[in-house]
Amino acid sequence: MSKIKLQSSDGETFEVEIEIAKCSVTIKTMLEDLGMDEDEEEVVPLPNVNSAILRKVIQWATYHKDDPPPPEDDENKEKRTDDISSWDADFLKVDQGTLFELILAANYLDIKGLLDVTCKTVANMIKGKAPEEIRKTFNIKNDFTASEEEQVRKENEWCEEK
Amino acid sequence: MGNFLENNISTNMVDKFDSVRDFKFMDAFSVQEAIGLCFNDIYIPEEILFKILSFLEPKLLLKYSQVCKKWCNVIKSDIFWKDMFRLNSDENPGNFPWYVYYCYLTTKNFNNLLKNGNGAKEFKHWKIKHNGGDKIDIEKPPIGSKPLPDEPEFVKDKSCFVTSYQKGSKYQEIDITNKRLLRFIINKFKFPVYVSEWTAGRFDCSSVYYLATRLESGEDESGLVGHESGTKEVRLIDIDRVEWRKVELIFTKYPDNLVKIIFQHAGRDGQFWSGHYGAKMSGGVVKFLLHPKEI
Repeated sequence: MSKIKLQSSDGETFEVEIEIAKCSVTIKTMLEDLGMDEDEEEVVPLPNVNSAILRKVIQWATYHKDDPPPPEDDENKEKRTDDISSWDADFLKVDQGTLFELILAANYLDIKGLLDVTCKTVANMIKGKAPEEIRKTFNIKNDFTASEEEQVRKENEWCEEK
Repeated sequence: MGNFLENNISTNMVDKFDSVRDFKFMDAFSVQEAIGLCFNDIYIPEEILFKILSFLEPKLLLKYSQVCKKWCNVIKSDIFWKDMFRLNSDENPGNFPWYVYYCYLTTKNFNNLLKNGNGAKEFKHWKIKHNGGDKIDIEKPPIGSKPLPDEPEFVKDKSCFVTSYQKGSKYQEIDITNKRLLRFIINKFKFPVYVSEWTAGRFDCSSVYYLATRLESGEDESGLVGHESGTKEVRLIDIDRVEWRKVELIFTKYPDNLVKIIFQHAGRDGQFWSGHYGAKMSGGVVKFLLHPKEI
């Protein structure tokens, strides 16, 4: 099994099976576009991902290496958030910082499966919470004035069907 | 048929139209870019916030617009709801403001508004206008005609209404007075109102079927009540009368402030025979279409 080396932003190098690394569309394209030879000892630099996050991403990709390829975006009508596998749920029992770093890494590396499951995890954190609790959870500043907030609330109420 | 509906005009429709007529949606807020995209100090691009929010139930999304200005702008954006629409519907989304998609996805206002169109719940939701001969009855399944066609209208219920030797007619009023957002939307976009029903006759007796629909507006400033109506008559005479056929009406022009849609159908037999030899009807549909449809 041929391998390639991935280098994180802080200089750590990870040796990964090429098939696993290719679950990242970004890496796959890079290998194809640059015509990198699989036999050569070349290193793929990933300046946007640190070693802690890259390690997690590789762990996720290794576990999911035999998954069927994700459907194209247009056909993907999957919007449920309760279909997170128990392995993924355990894997994502991390602090918020790590979770959002994983989202950014999945976005940068273009790994649809990982991006979906991490975004679903955040959606589940939002679900059922009042606006104030959401602000608290993610440390988001309320930038509405009292009257703006009231205006938004009223407009929402107007839209709701009795 | 033309005057079938005249007596149905309700005179009691002066309502809170002003709330619909004068309502205006807010403009987007000007925002400080980072607020609402920083999750515990980690900056998340807007398209990721889009993606996260798109996993939430459409009906609950407006609540989250109260978190901060950025979230409000994203949640009340046309592009976000168009995406939600694509995720949740097979229909062509077209180009509408966000609240059209919101209304489409979170209410039943764009589904069939006619209830109990097959008589599965007897005469529930219907008002009888004429009940001549041996009265309107329900057949489950239809007798003396072909079986109901393999159409979405009949997936659940395989029954129909059947008329007798004198005129049998009934109507259903669809009142949208209290549906503010829907009324706001149809005032603005005048979405076509599509009406259809299936009819058939018996192999041994000719019959006649009528479909009539009336769209009524509430009072305008001058105190006038506007309306628009359409009718169709089908004579079930020829041998193919046993086949179920679809009768359609479409309204693309109607006055402002639509508040009521009255769907009415009628039938009788052509021979004056005792029993239920008149036209059968089932599978009525009344719905707003996002896009015009050729019929």
